[in-house]
Amino acid sequence: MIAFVFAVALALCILLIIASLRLLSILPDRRSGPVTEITQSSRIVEITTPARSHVLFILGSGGHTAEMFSMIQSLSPESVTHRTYVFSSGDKHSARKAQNHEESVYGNAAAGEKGMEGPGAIGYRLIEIPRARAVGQSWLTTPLTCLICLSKCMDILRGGDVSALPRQMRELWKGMEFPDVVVCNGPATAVMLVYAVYIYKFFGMCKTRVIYVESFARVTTLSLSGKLLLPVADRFLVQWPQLADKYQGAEHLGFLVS
Amino acid sequence: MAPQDSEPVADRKVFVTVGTTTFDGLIQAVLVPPIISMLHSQGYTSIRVQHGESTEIYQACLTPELEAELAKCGMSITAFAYADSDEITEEIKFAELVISHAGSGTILECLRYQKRIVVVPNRSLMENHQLELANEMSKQKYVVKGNLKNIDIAIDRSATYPYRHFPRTGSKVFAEVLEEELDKLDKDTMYG
Repeated sequence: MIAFVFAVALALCILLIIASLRLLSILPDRRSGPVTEITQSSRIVEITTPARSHVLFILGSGGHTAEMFSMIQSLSPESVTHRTYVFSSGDKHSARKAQNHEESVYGNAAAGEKGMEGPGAIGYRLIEIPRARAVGQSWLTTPLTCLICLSKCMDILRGGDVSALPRQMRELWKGMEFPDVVVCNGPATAVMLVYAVYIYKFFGMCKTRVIYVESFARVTTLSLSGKLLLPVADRFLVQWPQLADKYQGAEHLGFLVS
Repeated sequence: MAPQDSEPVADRKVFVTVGTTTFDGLIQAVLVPPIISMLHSQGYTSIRVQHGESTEIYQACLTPELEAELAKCGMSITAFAYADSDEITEEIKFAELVISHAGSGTILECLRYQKRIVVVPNRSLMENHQLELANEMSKQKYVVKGNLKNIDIAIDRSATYPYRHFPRTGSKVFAEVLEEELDKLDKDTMYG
């Protein structure tokens, strides 16, 4: 009996060690990453982006969404061929902003229709997910809603909704389910989605990289989402130098909104 | 931004906005005869107020004295409670001076359209990061910061203040970061 308990304990220990090592191997190593001294104009970036790329943008409430579209307005239409916009349930404003953005940058009228026409415009998806925490929601029920949100995030990441797309679009999204890069700037939903990314990364199912941008409104302290995502984001960008001085791993490249 | 002498009849609008917050104090501080008179002397011809839920406060501000001052200055005043962000953008676009709460969204819109802006932090709000933003933006000369007690000083300053232009390069910097990350992934799949 003692031998059995000992064996189980040993097995658990080994499992824990392996899991920790795995986690360490997927967590970002930003020390060797880009340094903060990169200036805005002196760099020449050789653009060799893959022929097909999928970026997922997480939209938050009004302010976050406005900052997001202000930030991504200069992406060249060719660089991101597949785009997913995730917005919280009921947030029609963000959904409409995403459509406006697609229309102005890619000339797309609506997802699934003209979304596949035009140079570089392979398509975009607009996905609604339940909120991790509603404004004013009790902290008691928050773990439950967070779990529901997390499971929906996991479903989105593996492309659970792709089969429901129109046939033509389904073809285009096949094999592109996992995003190459996730871009987020603050909402609680973003935290859930990034954690979902890590669950898949843990099991080696995706290589998604995470870019987090702290809101322009944050000058000296990180938001709660920022604090939660600082250890896991591959790039953690802040828009005020005070934050880069204060938090290790935060990168300051100047204002990103414009 | 400078007054156009060649178009003397043009509407020069002041936009007062509280965003989605409740900020009675800002409305009460601006809608008084001395401020109206000051705005008139700076060449403004109309006032547009976005007052949020403070409809009653706004109406209470329209005293006979205020109406008399407006009539004397030949200025008009209009107001509304809320509008969606696109409509607020339009209001900002057609305004020459914006007197605003310290919301980052409004500040950014004003900077985008290079408007004179007077920012008044709402000290009754719990979140003090709005105050930090207002302080930092005013330190860097992007905005003029005022407070409720002497908003006249801030409005007076705004007329000749050398506002700094906000850089328009942010989204290009971000595009570079995103392309770097897509690049890394490309190499990962090729060699890793």
